[in-house]
Order: sequence, then C-alpha cells, then structure tokens
Amino acid sequence: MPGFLIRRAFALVLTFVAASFLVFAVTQFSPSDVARETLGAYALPEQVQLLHDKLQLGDPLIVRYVRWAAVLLGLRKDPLDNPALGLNVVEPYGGRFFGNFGYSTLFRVPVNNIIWNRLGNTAILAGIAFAIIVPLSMLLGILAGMRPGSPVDRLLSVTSITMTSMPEYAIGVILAALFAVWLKVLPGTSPLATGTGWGLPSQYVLPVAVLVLYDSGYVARMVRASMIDVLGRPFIRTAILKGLSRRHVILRHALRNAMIAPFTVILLQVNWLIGGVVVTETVFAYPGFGQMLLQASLFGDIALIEAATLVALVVAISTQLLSDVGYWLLDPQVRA
Amino acid sequence: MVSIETIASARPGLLKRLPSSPVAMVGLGIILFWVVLALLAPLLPLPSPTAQDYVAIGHPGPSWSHLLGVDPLGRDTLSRLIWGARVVLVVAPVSVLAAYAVGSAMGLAAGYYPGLVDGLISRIADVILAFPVVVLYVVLIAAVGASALNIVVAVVVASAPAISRIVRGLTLQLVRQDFVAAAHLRRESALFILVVEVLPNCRGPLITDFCLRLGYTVITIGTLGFLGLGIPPPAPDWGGMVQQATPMLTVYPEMALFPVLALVSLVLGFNLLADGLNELARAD
Repeated sequence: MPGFLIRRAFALVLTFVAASFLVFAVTQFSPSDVARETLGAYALPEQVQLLHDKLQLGDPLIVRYVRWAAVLLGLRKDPLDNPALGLNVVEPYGGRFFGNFGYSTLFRVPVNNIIWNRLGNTAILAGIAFAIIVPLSMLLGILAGMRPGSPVDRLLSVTSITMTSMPEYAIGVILAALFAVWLKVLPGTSPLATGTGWGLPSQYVLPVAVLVLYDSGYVARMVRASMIDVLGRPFIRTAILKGLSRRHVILRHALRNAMIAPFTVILLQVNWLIGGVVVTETVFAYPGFGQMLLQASLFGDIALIEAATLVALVVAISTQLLSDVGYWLLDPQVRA
Repeated sequence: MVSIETIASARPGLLKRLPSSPVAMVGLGIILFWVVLALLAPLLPLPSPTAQDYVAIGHPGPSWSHLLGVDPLGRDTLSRLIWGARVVLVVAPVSVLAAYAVGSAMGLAAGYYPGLVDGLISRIADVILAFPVVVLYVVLIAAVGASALNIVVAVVVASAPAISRIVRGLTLQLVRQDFVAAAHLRRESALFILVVEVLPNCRGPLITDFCLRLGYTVITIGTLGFLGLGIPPPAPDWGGMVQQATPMLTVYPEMALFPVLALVSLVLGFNLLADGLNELARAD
C-alpha cells in the first residue's frame, strides 16, 4: 500500500530536520566563532564582538537554528546581507529566496555560486562509477552464487576481501603509482583542466577505477549471499523438478527474488559512494563536491560546510526513500 | 538478522576453535606481527621517528642507513611505520571499545524497554545513520579539532548507532527466552538481567562485528590522517604519512606505498580474522 511509503517519507523528512539541527549544532559548536570566521584572522577583537552582537550569536542554539532555517527557506534575509555591516555581501538572487545557504568565507562568493557546479562534477564521476559498479557486481555475484565453492567463487571472495581492506586513498595511490608513474599511460591528477596535456576522458579513468574497485567487491558479496539463499528455497527445487532448464530457473525464478535484498544494499551504496568521493576527489585533485567539503572543513567555512552536508543528506535520504519504493515494487509481500 | 540458533551454537568457545580456521589464523598472525613490532619499538635499533636526517632528503629512497627510505622531511620511514603502529593499535581498539560500551548500552535499553525508550534511541540512531559516514567524520572532526581523543569521540558517535541496532535485535529475541523469564521470577533487577543474562549471549555475533569494526576503524583513522584531520604531527600516523608523500608520488612513489601497504596489511588481518570467525560460527 502507498500508506507504507507515505509513512516512510514522513519519517525520513523528520530524520532530515533532526539531522539538519545536528549539523547546525556541530558546526556552530566550532571553536572558531562564527563572527571570527566571517571577518577573518586579522579582524580586531572589537570588530568581532560588534558583529557577534549584531548577528545575535549569544542567543540560545535553538533560536539561532530557527533563524538559520528561516533564511534557508527564504522567509528571512541573510543577516550578513546588510550594507550597514560593511561586509560587501550582496546576494545576486535578491534578499529572500528558497535555498539561501549564505555566504562562503573561503571562496568569498555566495554558497550557491559554487556548490552546484561542484555537485555537477561529482554527479558525473559518481554516475559513471555507479553505472559500472551495479552491472559488474551483479554479474560477479550471480556467477559466484550459482556455484558456491567454485574457482570463480573463491577468486571473487579473495579479491573482494582484499579490496574491502583497502581504503580509497590506498587504491588511489597504488593505481596512480602504477599507471601514472611507471607506465605513464594515464594522468595522476584530474583537475578537469585542459592545459595538462591529457584529455578530459583520460582524467576520469583513475578516479572512476578507484570507486569501482572500492565498492564492487562488497556489492558482489551481497548479491552472492542472496543468490545462494534463494537457490536453496523450495520453489527453486519445484522449478527444477518440473523439468525447467537451469538457465530458465536462474533467469526467470531465482534472479528476481535474489535481487530484493541487494537492491537495498546497492542503493545504500550511494551513501558509501558520497564518502568514497570525498577521499577519491582529494587524491586526484578532482574539483568536486567532496573536495570542496574537505576544503571548507579545513578552512572553517561554516556556511559552506552546512550547505554541503545538507545536500549530502538530501541525496542520502532520497536514496533511502527510493530504496523503499523499489523494495515495494520488487517484493509483492510488502504490497499485500 | 542473526537468529537465536546461531547465538546458542556459537557459545561453546568460538575463540578456542580458532586454530581450526586457516583464514582466521593468517589474520591473527598479521595482527600479532604488528602488535609485536609496536611493543618492541623502543628496543629496536631505530632512529627516532621524529629525527630529521637532512643529508638523506636528497636521496630519500631505501638505503643501508634508512632501510625503507625517508619521508619529505628526512624522517626514517621504517621507524615511523613501527612507531605509527603503536598509535593506530591503541587508538583503534580504544575507539571501538568505547563505541561498543555506548552502543551496547543503547541497544540493551532499546530492546528491553519497548515504547518510548526504544522509539527515542532508534530515532537518534536513524538520524546519525542517515549521514554518509565520511561526511559525518569530516564535519565532526573539523568542528572539535583533530586529536586522538576527538577521533575516539567521532568513532563512538558514528559507530554506536550501528552497534546499538545489532544489540537491540539480539536483545529483542533473547528477552523472550526462558532463562530471562526465570530471572524475572527471581525478581532480578533490569540491570542484572541485561548485563548478566542478556549481554553475554550477544557475544557470538558481536565478536565478528568487533573484528570487522576494528579493521574499518583502522581505515577511518588512516583516512582522517590522509585528509589532514588525523592525529596531529609530528606524531607518526600512517594516513598522515601517505598524505605527506602523495605530492612526491611521481618522483618517489615508494614513499607513499610503504605506509599504504602497512595499513592495508593490518586491515586485511582484521578482516581475515572476522571472515574466519564468521565461517566458524556458520559451520556449527
């Protein structure tokens, strides 16, 4: 019933609101005060105190959260966007609009001017990786799960346990040493710039390879476990005893049922992929969302950290909802 | 979800049957190798992990005076690897144990008190698990600052909810068992029932998860170090070593490869041990 989905959607929206409060609380806890970060390291203590008072930063956390949420939702003007403060913060989209993430102290532009471009770059990288991970790991998982204990199965389990023992940056360093330093066939960094002597497509190869190697083993193991589980169920025995061919049994009967459990896992990999992207982009200097989040965190750019984390949360939570929808479509038992 | 059958059958000495699993023994061997090196660090004839050999910077590759070469600041790589093993072998188990203490308490309470307590704890877990893990670590560490203690705090915040979910599921099954009903009849307190009757029976599935989580935490500590959010310099930290060596990758790739191999081998050790334990638990 859609009632199940509506309840899930409602719960996920509540989770998002609570998570956004957590993000706000953690970033505002920052030892580097908001006013100090906004004015920079050379501001006088009096100036910092003045801005601190003007922004009412002494108010209780929950009051500041509601104020910040109001700016984000377009109900209120960004308090920094005030000529009287002399900060030269001007919102090109007007004072009040939905999705006002404020002003980045690191890049000295509104957060909206950088975040979407970076997110687009990451979406390309993650999209290519995902388009390879899903079919590859399903194929490997099904092949291994059809004959547990076979050489294919053994090879898969050894490879996947090795790959899950490797952090993304370890895979990145090893691949870069191999292909960029020794063989010199691929670029070691991927700044998406054209003047480096390497074409744009070649700059994608190593980052994508890192994400694929990092993630496929895990998903393949999930598919394998699910396949073994389904092949042991009575309806498969019935199908075989009916005299159906092995190919028919696997393609028509086993696959659909074996996909239900890994489907959730695959979509939850999006959550993993976001984390993997932060590290991979840092290794290859790829101008994406994750690298931006890390730069913002190291610099203490509070508005940018909050915006980036919220966007990451929206992506993660939407995939959760998507996995619920998929689960509902794939498994008739949930619908009943 | 782990069923009661596996819990009950895993009880008679899972750790005692460890020698029968070659996979687990290989894993244990790798871990012990690093533990012994870390313990012997002060006795080994090594230069100080923070001493800089300015002459060696010109030719940082492996040599007789520096078997694995030196880092960009002229510090001996082998010495930093072995002293770095001490750091990671203390911080990782302490973080995971702390996460287990918090997560088990949350899970036991949620599984034993359905309704408000369970609802509250489960919602808190939902909120934290909604975050992509690395994003959570980056934001937390950036806010509270990089230090060994803050890494422990971040691991607890990020892992306790997942542990609490496992323990909650096990508790829900265990509280319906006869021995818990018997304890109720003896008028034992809730604390006694949870700690003495329920918790020891969660042991089997948790041992595997503990090993996996140790490996994962070693990865996390390395990742934070690589991102510049790890244990602050000049302390030898494997992830930090990779970070410092990465700009030199095109000239001296081995500078980054040695710490990478050290980290991968230790994680592999924990994962193989977990895999072996898992096979043993499923075999009976």
